[in-house]
Amino acid sequence: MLFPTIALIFVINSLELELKYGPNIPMSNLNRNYQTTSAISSALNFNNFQLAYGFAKLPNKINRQEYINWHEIALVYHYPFIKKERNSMLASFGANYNYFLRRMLSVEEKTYAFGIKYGLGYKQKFTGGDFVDKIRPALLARVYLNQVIQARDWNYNQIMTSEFFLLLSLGISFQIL
Amino acid sequence: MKKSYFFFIILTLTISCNNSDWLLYRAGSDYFPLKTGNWWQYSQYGQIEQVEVKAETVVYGTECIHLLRNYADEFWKKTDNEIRKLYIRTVNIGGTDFEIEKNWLLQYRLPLVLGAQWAEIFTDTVLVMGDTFRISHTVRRMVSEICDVNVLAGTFQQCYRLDYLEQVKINDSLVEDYAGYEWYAPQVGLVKKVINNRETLLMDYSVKQ
Repeated sequence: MLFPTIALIFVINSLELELKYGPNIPMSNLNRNYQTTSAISSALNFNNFQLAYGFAKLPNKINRQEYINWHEIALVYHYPFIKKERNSMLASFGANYNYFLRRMLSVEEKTYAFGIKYGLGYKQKFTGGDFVDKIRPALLARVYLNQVIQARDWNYNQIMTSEFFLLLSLGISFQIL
Repeated sequence: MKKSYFFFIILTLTISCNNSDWLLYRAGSDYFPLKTGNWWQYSQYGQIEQVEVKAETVVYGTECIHLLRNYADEFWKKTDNEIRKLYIRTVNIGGTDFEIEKNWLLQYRLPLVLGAQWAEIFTDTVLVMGDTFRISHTVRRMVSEICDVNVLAGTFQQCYRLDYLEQVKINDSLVEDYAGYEWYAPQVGLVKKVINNRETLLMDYSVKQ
């Protein structure tokens, strides 16, 4: 299902490259042991859809020999609920696939987990000469809540455990196609 | 396109719920909640063992945790990276006790991660009233499995199983020899152990985080 969806998006729209950087704040249970860290992400935007990759390394607060590497691939829909000529406010909702690698010295645990992303964004477009109009640069500020779902109780159809990350990021985007 | 997108989201959420490896939950949990007032009650081959965290105290100039195990004193030291236990071993000669071992021996390296293993060996030679005592005390542990454990107090998920070995030799004679397994549950602590084929199961507990 993923690949047909991506292919469908590819054939429809123009393509933007987006680079973002900002704090990744572990919340809920994780906040006890892991520090806030920086996350870097890059994305391809197809009008309101986005295919993004993100990475962060979360160090243990008390034992620096232990850390968690977080990798994410996300498909997000941005809905511009306020849209003006040069700026817009976006409501975002999407699903992501997370890979977590927990490592201490030479031993490691790893897992994959799906998650849900929701958040808000602000996009400020720049205008200027021919070149600027061609690449259409924009400044981005986004706030995401990333809910990583780890298990569900099938008997009661309830999510049993989720971990949350709050992602704040600033970035830029360029039109490449 | 929107239809296919929402179908994709529903599909991912459905698949996601099959994931039973709660790495983040384990990573954020305390497997050794040694807070004052916490207590655990175990069923130990027909008898009851009561363990209680009495207070934080200072012993031999070291800040530690005073624990009562069936009203007998134990002293544990929990730091950021490890947990140690105070061992004091004496020999009685002519009606007087003489210390031949006094050390904080490593019990657990923190945090617990599958595959981690550690060992610490205390060795010393002590001369007491003309007799020589060569003591060797070894504790080994390895985190060997993540599993669910069903005991009298309930079912505990995402437990770590630790393989355990402890040996004490005095003058090359084995005076204590323990081998077995321990299971630790997140936010609870020890829920089960099988040492020298004797089983200890958690019956009841009260744990403050």
